[in-house]
Amino acid sequence: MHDIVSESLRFLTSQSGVSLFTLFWFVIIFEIPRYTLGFVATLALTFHSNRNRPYDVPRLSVVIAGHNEEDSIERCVISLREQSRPPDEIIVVSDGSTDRMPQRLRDLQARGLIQEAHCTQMRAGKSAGVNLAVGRTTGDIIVNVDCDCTFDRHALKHIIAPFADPGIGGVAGNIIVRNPKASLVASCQAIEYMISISQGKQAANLIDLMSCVSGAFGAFRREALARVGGLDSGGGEDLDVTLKMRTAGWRAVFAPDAICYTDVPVTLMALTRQRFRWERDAVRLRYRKHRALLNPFSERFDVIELLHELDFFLFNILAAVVFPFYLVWLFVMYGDLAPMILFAAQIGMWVMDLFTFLVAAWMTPKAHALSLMPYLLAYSPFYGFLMRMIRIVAYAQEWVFRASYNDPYVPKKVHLVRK
Amino acid sequence: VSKRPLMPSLDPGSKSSVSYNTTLSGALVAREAQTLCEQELFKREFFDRFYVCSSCDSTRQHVREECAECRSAELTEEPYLHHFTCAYQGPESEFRRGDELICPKCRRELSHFGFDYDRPGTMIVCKACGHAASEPVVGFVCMDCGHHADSESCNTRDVYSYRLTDQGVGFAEYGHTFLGQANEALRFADLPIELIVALNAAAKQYNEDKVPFTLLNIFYEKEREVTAEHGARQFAQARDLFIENMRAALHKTDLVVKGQSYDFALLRNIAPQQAKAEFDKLREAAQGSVRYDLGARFQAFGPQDFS
Repeated sequence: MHDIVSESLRFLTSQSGVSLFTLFWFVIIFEIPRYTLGFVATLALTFHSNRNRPYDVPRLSVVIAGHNEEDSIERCVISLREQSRPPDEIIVVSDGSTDRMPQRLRDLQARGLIQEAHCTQMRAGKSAGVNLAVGRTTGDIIVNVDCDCTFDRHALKHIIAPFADPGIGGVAGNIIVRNPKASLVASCQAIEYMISISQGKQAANLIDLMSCVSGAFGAFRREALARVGGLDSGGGEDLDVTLKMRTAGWRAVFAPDAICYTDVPVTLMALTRQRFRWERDAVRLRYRKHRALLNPFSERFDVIELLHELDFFLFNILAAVVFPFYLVWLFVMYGDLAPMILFAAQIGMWVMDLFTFLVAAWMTPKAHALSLMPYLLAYSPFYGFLMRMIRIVAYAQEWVFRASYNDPYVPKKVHLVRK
Repeated sequence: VSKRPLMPSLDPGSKSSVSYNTTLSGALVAREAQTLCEQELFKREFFDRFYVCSSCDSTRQHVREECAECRSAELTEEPYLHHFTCAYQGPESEFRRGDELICPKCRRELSHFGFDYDRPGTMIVCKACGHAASEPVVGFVCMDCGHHADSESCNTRDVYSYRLTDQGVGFAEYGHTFLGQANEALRFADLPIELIVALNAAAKQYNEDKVPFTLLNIFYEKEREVTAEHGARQFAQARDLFIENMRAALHKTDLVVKGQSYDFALLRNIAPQQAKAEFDKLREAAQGSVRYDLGARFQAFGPQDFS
C-alpha cells in the first residue's frame, strides 16, 4: 500500500500541465468544476449571508402523508408541536395504511396534537395523499414533511422566514442524517447530504438555481401551490412541483437553518433501490415531462432554468456515462500504469474532499460532522464510483425500459393512466 | 327476594336505568348490596355497564356521533375521490357537476371507476364548522339535565346481580354467632388461590427455618373518588398498572396478586416491621407512572398473624 501511494504521488508530481490534462481529463472536466463551484459558493456565502430575518405568517399549516408509519408519526408530530413557532394546524393523511397508523392518528387527534386525520382504505400514493391534506389546510404557508422526520426547535421559524419576499413560492429545508453511524453506507450518505445537498443547495441559492424543494421538509406559499395545481402523480413529486413553480414565475430558495433530521438507508441494497428511484424520476421529469425547459422555442424556456438543466446534465448524466469510457480508455492506453494513475487521481480527490468536507462541516455545525472525517476515505469511491454506476444503470433503465412507470412507490393503478 | 337472587332489569323510567326485583330503588339496592359484597355476604355477577352523567348521576344518556372540533351532531358522510391521472384527491362534492364528475384540478371528466379514479375512503364533514375527519367521535348528552360529555370523560357504572354466599346464608340463618366463628377462616379461604398456595409455602418455610415473610394487603382509598371522576374502566386500568409497577419494583421471588376488593403482595425474607420501613418507597415506585393518585395503603401481616 505504501509503495503504491508513494509511486502515485511521485507519478503525479512529475507530470507537466499538458500531460496532467491528458491523463486526468475526466477529473479536470467533471470533478474539479464541481468542487470549484462549491468553493466559490462557500466563499460568496462567507460575505453574503443568506440567513433571513425573522418573519411570521398569519397562519401556518403542516401536512403529512404517509403509508404504514405507525412507528414514526407520533415522534414527528411531537417534534412539530415543540417548535418555537408551532404550526396552527397539522393535517395528517394515512394513505391506505395496513398497520396501526389510523389508530395512532385517532389518539393524536384526541390529544389535540393534530387537527385533522384522514385515513383512506386504499393507497393512492404520496402525491394524492399530500393533495388531500393540502385541500383541507387553511394556512397561508403550507409545510410538507415526511413522517420519519424530526425537526430542530426553530426549523419552522426558519423555513417560513424567506416568505417575507412575496416572489418566493417554495422553501427547501436543510436535511441532516439522523443515523450516520448506523453503517458505512449511512456514514457516506451523511457526508453526501452535507456536501451535495446542504452545501450544494446553498450554492444553488446564490444564483437562483435551487431546483428541488425536498418532499421530506419543504414549505410552499399556498397561492403558488394552488397556481400549479399541487403535486402531480408519479414519483419525484418534489422536483416536479418545484420545476412547475419555477416556470410559473415563482422562486424557490433554500433555508440552511431550517434543520430536519431523517434516517437514511443503512444497507447497500436499500440505498441502491432508493437511488434508482430518485435518478429514474429525475430523468423522466427533466427530459420527458419538463423537456420544454430545454427547448429555446418553447414559451417555458428560460436561461436560468437551462443552467440547472445543464448542471444536471453535465455533472450527473454526462459524468456518469463518460466515466466507464474513461476507465476503458485509461487501461487501453496505459495498461499496467492505469491503476497507479487512478490511485493518483484518487489522492487528488481525497484532498479536495477533505477541504470540501471541512467547509461543509463549518457551514452546517448541527451535523456534528467532524466525527465522520475518517469515513471520507470511503466517501470518495462511494460518490465517485458507486453512485455513478447506480446512475448509469438507472438512466439506462429509464431511457430504455421506462422503469419509473413500474416503481412500487406509486400504486400500479396510477402508473397505468399517468403521463 | 327470599331464595332468589337480586336481579336487575332495564327500566327506562328510572334515572339509574335499572330496577331490581324488590320494592327498593335500584340505586339503593346497588349501594347496600355492594357493602354486603365487601363483607363477603353477597356475591355479584356482572349485568351491564351504563354511562353516567357527572352532573346529575343519571344513566339516561343520548349517545351520538359528533364533530371532534365543535361537538355538533350535524355530520355528513362524503367519499374521497382520487383522480389517478393528476393525483388530485378530495371530497366527492368538489368533483360533482350535475351527474358528471369533473376533476377540480385538471378539469378532465372522471369516466371509469377503477381505471381513472376510485374512492379510497370516506370523510365525515361537520356541516356546522366544516371540520373533516375519517371518523366521528362519540359524545353523550344527558337526557335529564342536558350535560354534555365525550366518550373519554364520561364515567361508567357497572350494574350487577347479587346472590347470597354460603357465609351470607349462614349469617342470615344464625346471625352474628355464625360470622364470629367462621369469619377469619373464610377470609383466609377467600384469598386468591395462587396466594394461598404461596402463603402455605412461606408458612412452612417459616416453621422449619424461621424465614420471615410479610403479606401486604393493598387497598385504594381513592377508589370511589377516581371512579366517580374518571369512570370504573379508568380506575381498573390504573389499578392494573399499579400492580404491574409493584411487580417490577419487588424481587422476582415476591408475589403480587390481584384480588377482588383488595390486592395482595407476599414478600419473602422480610419481617413486617422491616417491610413497613419500605412502604413509602414501594408506594412511590408503584404509583410512579399511574395517571391518577389511587391513595394506595398497605397493611402488613406477618407469620404471627396467621397462627
